[in-house]
Amino acid sequence: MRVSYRKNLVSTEKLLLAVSIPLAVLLLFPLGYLVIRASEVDSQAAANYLLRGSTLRIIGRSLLLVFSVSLTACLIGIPAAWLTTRTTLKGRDWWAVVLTLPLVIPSYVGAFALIGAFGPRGIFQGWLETLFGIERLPSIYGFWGAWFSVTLFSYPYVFLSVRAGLRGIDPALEEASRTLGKSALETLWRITLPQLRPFISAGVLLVALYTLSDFGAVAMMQYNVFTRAIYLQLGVNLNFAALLSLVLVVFTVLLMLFSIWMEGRGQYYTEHVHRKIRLIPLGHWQVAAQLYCIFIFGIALVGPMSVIAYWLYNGYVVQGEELHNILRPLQSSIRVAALAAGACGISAIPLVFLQVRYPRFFNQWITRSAYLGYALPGVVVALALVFVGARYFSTTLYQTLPMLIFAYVIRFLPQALGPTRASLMQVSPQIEECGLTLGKSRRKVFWGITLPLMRPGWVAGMALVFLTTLKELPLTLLLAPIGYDTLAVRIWSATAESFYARAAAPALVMVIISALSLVFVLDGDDRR
Amino acid sequence: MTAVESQRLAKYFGKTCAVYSASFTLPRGEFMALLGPSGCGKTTMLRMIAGLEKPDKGKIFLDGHLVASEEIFVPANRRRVGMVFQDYALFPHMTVEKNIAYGLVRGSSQKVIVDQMLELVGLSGMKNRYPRELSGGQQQRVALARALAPQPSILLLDEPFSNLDTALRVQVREEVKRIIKEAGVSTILVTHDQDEAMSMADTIGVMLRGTIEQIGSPRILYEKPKSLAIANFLGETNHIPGEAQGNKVLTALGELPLQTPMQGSVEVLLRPSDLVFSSNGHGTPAMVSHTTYYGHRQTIWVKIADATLLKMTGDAHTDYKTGDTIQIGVKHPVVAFPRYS
Repeated sequence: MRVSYRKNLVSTEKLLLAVSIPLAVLLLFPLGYLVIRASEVDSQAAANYLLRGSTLRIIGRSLLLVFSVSLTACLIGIPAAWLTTRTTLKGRDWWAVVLTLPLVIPSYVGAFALIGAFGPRGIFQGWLETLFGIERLPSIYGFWGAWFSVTLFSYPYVFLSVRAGLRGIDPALEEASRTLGKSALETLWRITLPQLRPFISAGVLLVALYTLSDFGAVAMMQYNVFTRAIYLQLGVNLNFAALLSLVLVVFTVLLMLFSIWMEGRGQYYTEHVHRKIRLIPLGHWQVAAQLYCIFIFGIALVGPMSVIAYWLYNGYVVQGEELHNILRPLQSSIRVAALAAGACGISAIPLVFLQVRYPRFFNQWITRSAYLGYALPGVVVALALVFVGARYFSTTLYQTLPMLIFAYVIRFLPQALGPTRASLMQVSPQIEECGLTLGKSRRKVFWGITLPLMRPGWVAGMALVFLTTLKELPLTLLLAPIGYDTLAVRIWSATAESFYARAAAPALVMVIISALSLVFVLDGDDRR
Repeated sequence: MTAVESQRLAKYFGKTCAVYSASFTLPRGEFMALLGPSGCGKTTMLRMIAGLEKPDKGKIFLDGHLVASEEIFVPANRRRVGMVFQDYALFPHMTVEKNIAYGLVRGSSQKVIVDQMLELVGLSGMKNRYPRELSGGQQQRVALARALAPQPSILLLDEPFSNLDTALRVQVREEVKRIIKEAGVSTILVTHDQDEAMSMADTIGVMLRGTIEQIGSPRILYEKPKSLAIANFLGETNHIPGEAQGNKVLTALGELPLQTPMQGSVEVLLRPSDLVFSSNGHGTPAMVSHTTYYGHRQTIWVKIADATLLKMTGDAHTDYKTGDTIQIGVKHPVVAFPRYS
C-alpha cells in the first residue's frame, strides 16, 4: 500500500479565511464608505439639515406610515389567523392559502393596480368621464395610497406568523384557564394573546421593515418617506442623501432591537403540541366571518388582479400593443437574476463552511457581517454604490452590469446563506471523516460527498436569490446600465407615464414570478 | 351525597368509540383512580367530567347537579372543577403567585388564599418565580395549588406523574396524596400505572376498551378480579387450565381449593407470589428454567410436567441454577374464570 505522508501545508480554515475576509470587507465597504462620507459633512450643516422642517417631516411621515401599516396589518392578520385556526370557519384550509396569496404581489405592482384603477386616466376615471364627464377624481397619491398598497401586500406576514403561533400553543393552557372558571373571551385575552405576543411582534417586525424599506409603492404613490426622499436627494446633494440613509439604517436597526427586546421579555415555550384543538363553533357568526374573509380576498387579490387583467385586455386587444415588447425586458431581467444567483451561490460556500465547520468567534462574525444586507434597504445599498461608483469608477464600473450584480449580492446574499447553511449543518462531519479514512483527499470528499449532499439547500438558496432579483426595483432603477430595461423598471416607468396598458403584461409576469418565490419561502419554512 | 355521578356515558371521535356506556359514582371526599392502558378512554372520561369534551350520550352529575346530558352542557368554566394537566399547563408568562391567583376572584382574600396554598404545597418562598425556573416536582405542586385554590368541588388529575423520573415519582406521589387528604377534596386520578393507582386511591375503576370493567378497593381488585384481563393489568399473572368441581379445581399443580364454587372448564389465576416452594414432599415437581434477579427479590421461571412455564417470586438469597428440580405448591384458595371455547 502506498501511504502519503505529505502534510496539509495550508489548512482548509486558512484557505476559507483567505477568501472570506476579502469578501466580507467588500460587502461592508459600501456602508462603511457611506458612514465616512456622511461624517465628512460639516457637523453644523448636518445638524441643520437633519433638524430642518422638511427632514423632520420625512421622519414623521415614515413613522406614521410604519405605525399605521403595522396596526392595520394586525387588525387584518390576527382575526384572520384566529378564524382559520381556531374556529369552525367553513373552508378554513382554503382561506389559509388564499389569504396568504397577496404576498405574491410586489408592492409596486399593487401600487400600479391601484393607480391603474383610481389614478388619472385609470379605469374609474375613464368610466366616469364617459358617463358623467367627470375629469378629476380625488387624488389617491400620498398617505392613503401608500398606506393602502403597502398594507394589503404585507399583512400576510402577521397572518402567517400568528397562525404559526396559534397552532403551536399548548391547548392545555387554554383548557386549564377554562377549568379555573374563566370564559372563552377572558381566556383569549389573558392566556392566548399574551402567548401570541412574540409571534405578533415577529410578524409586525417584518411588516414594519417591509414598510420602512419599501421603495416602489411609496415612490409611485409620491409619498415622501425615507426611501423616496433619498432617491430624490440623489440628484441634489449626495452627502445629504448619505446622511438620510444612515438615519434610515438607524431606524431599521432600532426596529430589529425593539423586536428582540419584545421577544426576550417573559419566557414562552411551546415545546410540545399533542391534542387537536377543540374548534370554537361560529354558529350564526359564520356568515359574518365568511364576508370578512371575502372582503380581504377581494381588495387584496381579486381587485389588483382584475385591474391587471383589464389593462392587459385593453392593451393587447383594444390598443393593439405588441406582445414581443416585453421579451427584451424579460430577457434582461432573467440575465441579471441568473448572474446574481450564481454570484451569491459561489460566495455563500466559503462563508458557510467557515461558519459551520470552524465556528470560532471570529469566523462567526466574518459570516455574520454578510447578513448585513438584511438590514439595508435597497435604496441605501444603491446610494452607497452610486457614491463609490460615481467617484472612483465613473468610467469603468459605474452603471455597468458587474456593479449591478455586486449590489444584488450585498442585498440578497443572506437569502442564499440561510438555506445553504441549513443544508451543510445536516451533513455530519463524520460522513466527511469517513470519506477521508477511505483514502480520499479533502478536495475529493468535498466534490464527491459534501457538495452533493448539501446541494438541495444550496440550489434552493440560489433559486430564491434568482426570484428576488427579478422582483427588485430600486437597485435596478439606480444602477442598471443606461437603457437596460428590466420588467420592474418597465412597470415603474410605464405607470409613471400613465401607460397602464404597457405595465400590465410585465406586472402579470412579476406576480407569477413572486408566486414561485413564495412557494420556495413557505416550503423552506415547513422544512425548518 | 355523591361528588360525581356518571350514567352510561359515551363519546365517539368520528367513527371510533372512545368511551362506551361508562357509569360510576364517587362519594364526596373520596379518592378514585381510573386505571387503564393507554387508549382505553380514561382521559376522555376525565375531560368529559371537566367539561372539556361533550359526551355524545349519557349524563354527568356534579354534586347532584346535572352538568351534561343530551340537552344540557355546562362549559368547563362553570363547573367548579380543578384540573391538573399532564404537562401541568402552567401559564409561562405568569409568576407562581399569578398562576395560583388566576382562578380566584379579585379581592382582599385573594392574597390570603394564595399564601395558604403556597404553604399547603410547601412553596412559600417561590412566589415570584416563573414556571421555567422550577423543577418538575415543584411545577407539579404549583399546578396542584392552582387547581385547589378556587376550592373546586372535584379535583381531576390527568396522568400527573408521568413526566417525573422514577425516583422522584414515589416521593411526589406521597406528597400529593398528603396535600389532597389535607384539602379534603373529592378526587379522580387518571393513570396507566397500577402502583400509582393502588397506593393513592380509595377506589379504583379499571377501564378497558372504553368502558369501566370493575370498580372496587385496591385489595378487592387485586384479590378478586372479575376477569383475567383485569388481573393481568393489576400485576403479573400466571394462568393454567383446570376443571372446576364445586369447591375445588383440578390442574397440573394438583387439586386446588377455589374461592368461589364453580363447574366446568376454567382458567386458574396464579399470582407469582401465590406460588411457594414446598419442602414436605406434597408439592408438584418443577424444573428451574431461568431466573431474573432484582436484588431485593428474584423471579424464578419454572417448567412443570406439561411444559407450562410459570413465574414465581422468591427470596433473593437462594441461588437457583437452570435445571434444578424443586417442589412447588399454592398458598391460598385460587380465583378461576370460566373458559369460553
